[in-house]
Amino acid sequence: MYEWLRDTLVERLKLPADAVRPDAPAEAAGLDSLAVTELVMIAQEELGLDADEDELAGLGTIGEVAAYLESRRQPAAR
Amino acid sequence: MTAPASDGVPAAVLCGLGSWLPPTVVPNDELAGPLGVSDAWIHQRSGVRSRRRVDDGTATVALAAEAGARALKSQGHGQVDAVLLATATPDRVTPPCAPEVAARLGLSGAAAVDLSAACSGFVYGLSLAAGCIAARTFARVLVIGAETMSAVVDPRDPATGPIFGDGAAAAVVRAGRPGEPGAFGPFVLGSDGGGADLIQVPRGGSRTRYRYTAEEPRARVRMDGREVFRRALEHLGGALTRAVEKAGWTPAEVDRFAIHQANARISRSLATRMKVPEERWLSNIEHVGNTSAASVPLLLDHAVRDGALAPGQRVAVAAFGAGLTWGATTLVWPDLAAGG
Repeated sequence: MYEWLRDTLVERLKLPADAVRPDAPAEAAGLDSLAVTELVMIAQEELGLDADEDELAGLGTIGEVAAYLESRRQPAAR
Repeated sequence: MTAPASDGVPAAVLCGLGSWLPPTVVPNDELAGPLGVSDAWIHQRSGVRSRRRVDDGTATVALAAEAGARALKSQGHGQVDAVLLATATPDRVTPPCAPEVAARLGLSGAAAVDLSAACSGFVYGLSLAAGCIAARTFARVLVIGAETMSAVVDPRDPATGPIFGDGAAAAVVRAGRPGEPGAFGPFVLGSDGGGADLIQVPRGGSRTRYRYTAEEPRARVRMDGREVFRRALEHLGGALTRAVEKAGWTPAEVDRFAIHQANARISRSLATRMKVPEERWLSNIEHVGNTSAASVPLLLDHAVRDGALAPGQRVAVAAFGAGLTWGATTLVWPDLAAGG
């Protein structure tokens, strides 16, 4: 998931490649509110994954965003 | 004037283009301090570095007349049958601005009406002009997009204050032959009133009566930026794709995309989604901001002046705005004279 996220942020959202690291604060890397909206759209289109914009926007680092997206891909354990 | 073809339905052909911007430049630095943000913050989120603002006392009729005069000069003479003015910021709730603009242009007696479709207004205006030309109601129409957004934008709102600018631009369309340079292809238009609250200025309408002061927040633009961004990508992309298809082209065969300048990131995202190089997407938002109904013709006029748009190029045009409304069309760019 992290590789998909990195490629999407750099190639589609045009965030600077050197700013996109797992430990980078998401907003400082360029993941602002519009970028979050677009990321959620792309995740739905490409991965069929329903992410919540507000939850995603509240995350701290790029690594946490990747983990959150991964958690949305897995069906919740019952 | 060029007579319409006697057989078949006449097409609407672009034959004049002009624009006018108020001289006062407002750089990001002037807005950033009071908002507690930086020039870079505004630029990264919107693509805007500066915008124009009218002086006190200047309003939409004046901007529209300046742009209209330049479009008439570009067509080579001052005659048209009708004036359609797209604006979300008329001088007054009533009367409409277009008759006064027509009078200022020496066109008293011409048909004249305002169109309210927010940022999509100019594309809607082109389509209505094309329909009137096809019906032989008019042979020449001046279509103007003009906005005094500073009248309704709250400079203290970081979501909208830095984005919008004032300006006007206009086009003349005449009856001509389908397929000739400058002839507009099929139009794609749409709306979604379910999104009416996403971009709005409540005050001044019959739902929000005049008991509020000028500083009352309902007098200002309110916008749900994230949802508007998502819907803009959806509807601009859809309208562009359909308009290009109806013209018999593929996106890869379009030389220039001229879309409403709402946010630089919309063009960037659409370029990726439609798999068309970003260099083909015209842009002037950096220096003018979002000028609403004036945005598309202003972009076209600036692109001609900058050499980014040349005769013979295939152009796709699209806009999206409050309502929600959207529209798109195509044309092969004609050889136009400068409007000054």
